[in-house]
Amino acid sequence: MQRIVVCVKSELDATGPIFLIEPTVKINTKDLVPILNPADHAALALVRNCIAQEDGQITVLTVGPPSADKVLRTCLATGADSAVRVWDDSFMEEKMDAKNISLLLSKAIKKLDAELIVCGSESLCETSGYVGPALAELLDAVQICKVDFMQCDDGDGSMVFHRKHNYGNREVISSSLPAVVTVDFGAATPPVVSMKESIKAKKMPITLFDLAELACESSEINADANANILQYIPPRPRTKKLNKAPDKPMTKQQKMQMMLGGGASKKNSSVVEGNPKQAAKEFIDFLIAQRIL
Amino acid sequence: MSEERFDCIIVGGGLAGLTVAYLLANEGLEVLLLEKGNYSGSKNMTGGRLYGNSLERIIPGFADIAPVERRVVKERLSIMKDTVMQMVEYDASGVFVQEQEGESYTVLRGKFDKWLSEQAEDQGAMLVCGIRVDDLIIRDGKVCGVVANDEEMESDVVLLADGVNSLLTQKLGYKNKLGTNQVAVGVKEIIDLGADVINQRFNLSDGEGIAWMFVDSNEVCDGFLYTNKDSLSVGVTLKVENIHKAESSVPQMLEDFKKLPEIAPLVSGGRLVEYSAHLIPEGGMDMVPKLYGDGVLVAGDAAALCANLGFTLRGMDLAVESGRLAAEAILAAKEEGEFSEQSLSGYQTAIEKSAAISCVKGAEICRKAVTDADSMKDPLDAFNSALQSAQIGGKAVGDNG
Repeated sequence: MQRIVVCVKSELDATGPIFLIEPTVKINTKDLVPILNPADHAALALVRNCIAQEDGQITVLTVGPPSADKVLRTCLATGADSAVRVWDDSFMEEKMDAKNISLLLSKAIKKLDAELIVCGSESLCETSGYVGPALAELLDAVQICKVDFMQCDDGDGSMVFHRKHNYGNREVISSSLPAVVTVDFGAATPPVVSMKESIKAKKMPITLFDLAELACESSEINADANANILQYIPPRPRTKKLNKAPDKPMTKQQKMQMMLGGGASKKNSSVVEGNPKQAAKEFIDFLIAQRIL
Repeated sequence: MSEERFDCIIVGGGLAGLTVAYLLANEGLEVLLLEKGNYSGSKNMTGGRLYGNSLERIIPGFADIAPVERRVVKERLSIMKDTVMQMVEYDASGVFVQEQEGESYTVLRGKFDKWLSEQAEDQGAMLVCGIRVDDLIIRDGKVCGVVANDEEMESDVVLLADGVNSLLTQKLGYKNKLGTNQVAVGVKEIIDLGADVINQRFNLSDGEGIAWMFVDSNEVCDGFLYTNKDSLSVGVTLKVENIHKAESSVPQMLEDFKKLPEIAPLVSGGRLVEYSAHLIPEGGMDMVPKLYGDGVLVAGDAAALCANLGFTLRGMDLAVESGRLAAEAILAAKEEGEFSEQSLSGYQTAIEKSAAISCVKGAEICRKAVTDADSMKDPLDAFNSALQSAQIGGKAVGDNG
């Protein structure tokens, strides 16, 4: 049986109403709801799809305050077998950058003695994609990115991974373990949460690793970050050629299209009018003329 | 048969469901609350005003710890008759409802319900979100549990707090499909302005709020405006049966409402941050269904406990009150050792006798008194006497029953 660790992150739901504290610098996160980072959820779903429960035990691992338990329980309800949270009261949340997180995760993974380590390729908020590669470095393990299929190789304990390339090409890799694998959002669809699994997950214990447990010094963690964000520069707003509907006699749709397109509508596009039957006929004629049908 | 069992399963994580979960978990019962949204409050919506007394009985001093927006200190009432609008402004503390039901607060449900759900979880209730209950397990006429996505979960008693369009009470046959005369549709925008601008425009201090109702005597489109901490809740309500009187669509009505000379300067420069719509039960006491059965109780909007009194609209405090009474009925039934129709029947009586809920009976009379042109001479007196007479009338009915 394999020991698998899936590293997950509690993220804030970006679909909630977003308010900026300082323009373009900080978001007011007080009222946002914690969710499981979508790429991490895909990673967990991919592992569970590819490796049955009797072949591999999945431990989900996160670094975060007690509020992160919520996403661990989401993982427990959707395929994980156990959960570990790393946190110590001496941690300062603002110092928890990708470097420190990777360090803590690597220590916890060593303690859990995992053979396969799976991460989402990047988080929702910072999208730096740092943690996966950094873990591979810290653990001195093989690193394979953007995996969308995996399989145990029965013979020598190595594993086969598939990576998807453009135009449907696939790369098949055989690798020894331990290996760090990252998974893109969309590589697998997480299952629908079931009522019974949720109830079971609510009752499962979550193991806590603190600094003493990881045999780690707080000076290692709370050191100043190596990199700081100085400024965030949003793209220059696009100038619109036309911000007023033209006076020409046009239908409402045409006016809308012109305003949305920022200028005269493109040559090839046109608005189909008339009742649905006529419109459908015109549409099909167009497709035939374009040799699509 | 499922291996697991709960004392009580609650369907719906609104104020009624959360109140029951809080109280039962507090008494040590195993409670499971199932909520369709991703968290409690994610799908809940109201205009925005909560009278405090019913929740105060459960969590004393809740206003200091809960994320309430502002305490209502000022009320305004505008009566629209054709193109004429008359407005009165009065001190909130002089109103009969407030004397009876305590201070009122503006709330945003996304925050408030989330907070209440955390309180219920602290008491030991189990909250499971993202689960839609599709059906009930019924054996020999007794409700034994719920079905969600083909999974069954059993319990001694099920509490239905699944909102105004309660499909589960309809399935039980307690309620028919909603009629057009029973519900109003409400559309609301939350407009972000910043606390300072609101304080300035409405002449308020921090933490103080205003509740402003607009009553249309042609019964087409009522409106409301509440002040939140940094934003305004502006909306319109329209009784569905009156939709033929309307000249424009409901979203357009809200746009027109915001363009009224009374409203436009107050919302100008604001940023729209939320747009939502909801059904409001306004069928009065006739709409209230049978509220109990073998192993089942109904509370909150599902029980149609909502009162449009014209100068104010109450629903949230009634949901909390009905939740409290339901929890009491469940605890009493547990004492008896059975959750039969007979042992739960005390709930309906308690609802009918409840002083707070009696306003549902008087709602129509009260709203009529408000739209009555004469009431403009001394509106406060007119509302209070209308409401009082409605209350007394309600009491008499309750006693006879």
